[in-house]
Amino acid sequence: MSGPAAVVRTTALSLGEWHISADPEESLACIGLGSCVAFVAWDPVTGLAGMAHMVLPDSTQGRESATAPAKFVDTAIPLVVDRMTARGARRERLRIHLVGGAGMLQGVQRTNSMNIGERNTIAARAAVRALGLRVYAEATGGGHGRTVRLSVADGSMTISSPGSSAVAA
Amino acid sequence: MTRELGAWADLVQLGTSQAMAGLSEMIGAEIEVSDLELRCIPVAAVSEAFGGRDREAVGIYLTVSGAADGHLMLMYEPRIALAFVDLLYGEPLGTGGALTEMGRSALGEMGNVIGAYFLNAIADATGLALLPSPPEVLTDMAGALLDIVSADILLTQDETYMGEATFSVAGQDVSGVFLVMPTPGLLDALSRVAELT
Repeated sequence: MSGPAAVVRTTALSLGEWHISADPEESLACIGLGSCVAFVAWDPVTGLAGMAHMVLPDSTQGRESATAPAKFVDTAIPLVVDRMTARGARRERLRIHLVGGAGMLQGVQRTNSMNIGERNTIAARAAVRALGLRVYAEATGGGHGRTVRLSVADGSMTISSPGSSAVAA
Repeated sequence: MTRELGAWADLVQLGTSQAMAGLSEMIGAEIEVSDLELRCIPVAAVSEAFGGRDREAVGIYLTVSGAADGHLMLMYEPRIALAFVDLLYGEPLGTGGALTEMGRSALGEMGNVIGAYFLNAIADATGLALLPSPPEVLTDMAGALLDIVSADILLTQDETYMGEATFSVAGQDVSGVFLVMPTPGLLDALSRVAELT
């Protein structure tokens, strides 16, 4: 019996980008997440994976963008879920993870930054709930950056932080 | 070059030169700004100036308040930050092996000086009163540090004016990038001043 295909290429999503893939040789990644939150979804039946690198919680507070269509949490999550279901994924099967949302500032400026990481995380949970879905697991908060990688082949995920080796999730 | 970028370029040039003069005075050595480049680039591309989002970086972060809100972020590779700590304590380069609390404190003080000189130069040129906050010294992935300043800018726009200065300390093998990105609020304030002059 052969195992999952080896990852041949990684698609790293920049700020506000999203991507879906059913290519078992691909992995999706959000690198160096601070206050940003990664929405990660995988359908074990179709092997379809989706990811979004979200920057801000609420699209009504800013301006939508053609070049960064996933920058707002409240619009990015429905977008990725819709595109995945359009390609055959079933909502109830989606294994959803949230990663990131750190509070990078610990000192006096913490209040000034309005704790955007926490607001992003809260908005992401709400957006998932609003679609009638649930978060399978999350690695959010804290005061450090994270990199998340998702293998399209088997939905396995690794999360790494400065000074720590990658942890499988 | 748009008028907006032109005005911003002049101010960054002035502010950077004043900030480096302040830093030079602080460490007692001449600092030469060998290159100052101003570009309008996607916010998402800023991390490339640091070799990618996953590269470890030391950031010195200050908020700006007063006539406009904004952020100042100085970012260095860890070895450059450590070299600055050595210079600030008058030690030979390579003395500090890791960033200690004393080192963080020294870098914070460096942020204070650079921030104050930079904002004073802008204030003198424009009449805008801009006040720096106490600095916070952070060590993390470059991308995670840049999130702090990127979110504000991405709220309303996808591109930013990035000022990138390469400088060296005379006689010492130290160079670094001084990164300046104005928030939309600061650019608005500067535009209003430009319209009046």
